[in-house]
Amino acid sequence: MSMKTSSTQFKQRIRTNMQDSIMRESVASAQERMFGNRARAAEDIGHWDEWRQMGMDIREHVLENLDFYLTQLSDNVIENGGHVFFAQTAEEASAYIERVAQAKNAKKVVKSKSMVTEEIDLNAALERQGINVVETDLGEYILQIDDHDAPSHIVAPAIHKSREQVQQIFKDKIGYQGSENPAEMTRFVRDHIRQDFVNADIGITGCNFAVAESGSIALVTNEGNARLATALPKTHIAVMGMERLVPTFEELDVMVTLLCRSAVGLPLTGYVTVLTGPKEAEQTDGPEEFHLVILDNGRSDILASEFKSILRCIRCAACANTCPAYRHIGGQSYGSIYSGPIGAVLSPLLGGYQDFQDLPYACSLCTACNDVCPVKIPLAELLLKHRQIIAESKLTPIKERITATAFNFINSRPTLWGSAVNMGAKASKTLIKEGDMAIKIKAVEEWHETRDLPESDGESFRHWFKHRTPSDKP
Amino acid sequence: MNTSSRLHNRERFLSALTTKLGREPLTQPSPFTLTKARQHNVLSDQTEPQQLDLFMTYIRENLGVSAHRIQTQELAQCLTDECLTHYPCAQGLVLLSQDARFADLSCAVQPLQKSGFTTTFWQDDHDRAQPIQLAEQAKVGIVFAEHALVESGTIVLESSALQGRSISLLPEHSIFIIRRSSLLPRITQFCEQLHQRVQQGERLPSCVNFISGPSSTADIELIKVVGVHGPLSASYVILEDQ
Repeated sequence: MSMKTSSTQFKQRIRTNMQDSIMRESVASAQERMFGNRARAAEDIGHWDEWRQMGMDIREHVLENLDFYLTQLSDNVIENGGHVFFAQTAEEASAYIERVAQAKNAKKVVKSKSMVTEEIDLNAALERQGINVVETDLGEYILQIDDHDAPSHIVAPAIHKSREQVQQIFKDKIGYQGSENPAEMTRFVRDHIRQDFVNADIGITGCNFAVAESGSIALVTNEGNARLATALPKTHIAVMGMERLVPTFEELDVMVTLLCRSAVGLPLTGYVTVLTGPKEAEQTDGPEEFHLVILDNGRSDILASEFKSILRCIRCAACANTCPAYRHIGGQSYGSIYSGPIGAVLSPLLGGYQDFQDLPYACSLCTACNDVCPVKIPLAELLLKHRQIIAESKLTPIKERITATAFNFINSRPTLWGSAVNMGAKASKTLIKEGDMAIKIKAVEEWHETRDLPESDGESFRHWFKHRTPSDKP
Repeated sequence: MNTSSRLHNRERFLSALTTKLGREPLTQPSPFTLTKARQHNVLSDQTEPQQLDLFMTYIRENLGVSAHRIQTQELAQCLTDECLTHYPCAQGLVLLSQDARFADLSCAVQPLQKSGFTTTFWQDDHDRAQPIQLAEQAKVGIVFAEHALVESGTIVLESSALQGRSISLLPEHSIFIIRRSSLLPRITQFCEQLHQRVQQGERLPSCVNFISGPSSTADIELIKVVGVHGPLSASYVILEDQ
């Protein structure tokens, strides 16, 4: 799956998804629980804002010194006996991994959950080579066998599905005969794909954090699939966004703490696995070959831009778990593998405004996301910045631009503004009846559709303020 | 294979990066210290017995594992009892770590076999298929923890020739043996150790795992299910070595 997960229009997607009552119920209940878990975990450890400040400082320091730490990281991976490929584009990254797969004569690849491999559309590239790719994270697995349904959450990708829907998918695709009990279904999948781990030629993972000082990569997981994918196959390929590293283990401690508490509300997830190079000669299991693919794919442009702070992101999805827009429209409405506030900022940057210019508007600027972000990314400000760029580059609809231009013209002329609001007040008294307006103004038509307008008494606020009697004054 | 054939495109990649940033490549990072360093304060006011209590409570209540505090001479019996608790029919293979630094698991072979289990030690030969296959067939895997972390109920394992990754991964049930003296407040203290080891020039073990309970998922309706691709259940055995 590439960045883009849908070819229908943004508003059409929203209309469809908002009628999906199963999705809306699942997302609302999941969001509430994840929000609560995070809040509790933040309170338990105490001084959370100071922790967030540490997270922000570490991430900013890494971004400032990125070329130094990437050099140190790659030197150490080589020193440990691994391979490093620096990929400027998604295509370069995929092509390198394909070459490794060909060299290994690979027939089967097991993958643990990785957003960056989704971003580069790796599965499709490998499948074109005739390689069987098995997504082993339970959520990703459900989506993969459901004819590649789009993910709806960065951490829990199949959260839009009910257990009955999952039961039906398992029944149709892998011959499951059991109940809709999640434990029973999970056990079935465990047994169903266990042999895939044993037979796989290559294990592919993402990378939550690389540690520059030792050339290690850290994987933060729960299911054990990433451990299997990096213990059994003879080759391990890790793919990382170039910004996902920390200088030393001391910073890894802080970042892992922030990630686990923000993402799932736990002090640590079930597994935090720190992998350093291929296995030692005398060890039996573990990969004989280790490849680290470091991906730019637009990140260096972001780093040099006013959107730099988005590269602090550690993919915890706390912003999505708190966002009222996400709650109502669901992750698939974003039409990107990255959903929620982080997706609305990141998708246009990585995938272009052409495909994602609507996303910065999937936001009421309530700024709740800013307050939960463990690395203090000013998400709402970045969304506003996107809107500004979209407006200035004339990507907004013509009717909206005409209205905005007219508004700005009048607004910057006090006399004209004075008569305009008086006229408006009088007109609205005649035109607004029972919350509805007789004349539709194109640019705000959709805004009208979902709102009852207040009855007007025909007087503008300015007029009332100027002529108010002493009894009106405080 | 030489170094250069394993490193691809670095120069081109980094020079594109620094060109966009409009500066020369860095030869040193800018100075950096964490201003708050809150991580050192967590649980720092708790005495050792209090930390042990917190650990025991956390693992029982939050991780759903069975936990026992025993003397070293009780180890063989305790391991056998744990295997019997989880497999009352006493059938199946128990896979044992060969690592004998803290205690020798040979002591458990006889009581386990007497109960009906078969046992095998992790093999450090170079044919990977057979040891992995044995681990895949085993019901129980028994390993020693380097450390345990109080805050998160976490076991720290380091891969070695004598104690492979698969022992705590492929069998259905994991038994972790923890020395009480190896308890640390949280991940902070172990990360400090790793940092020091790296600074002293040590090549870290290829796999260091922080394991908190059995494997789990919440991918279906966010309902927690314990037991996914890793072990389905776990026991913690704490050796009173103080």
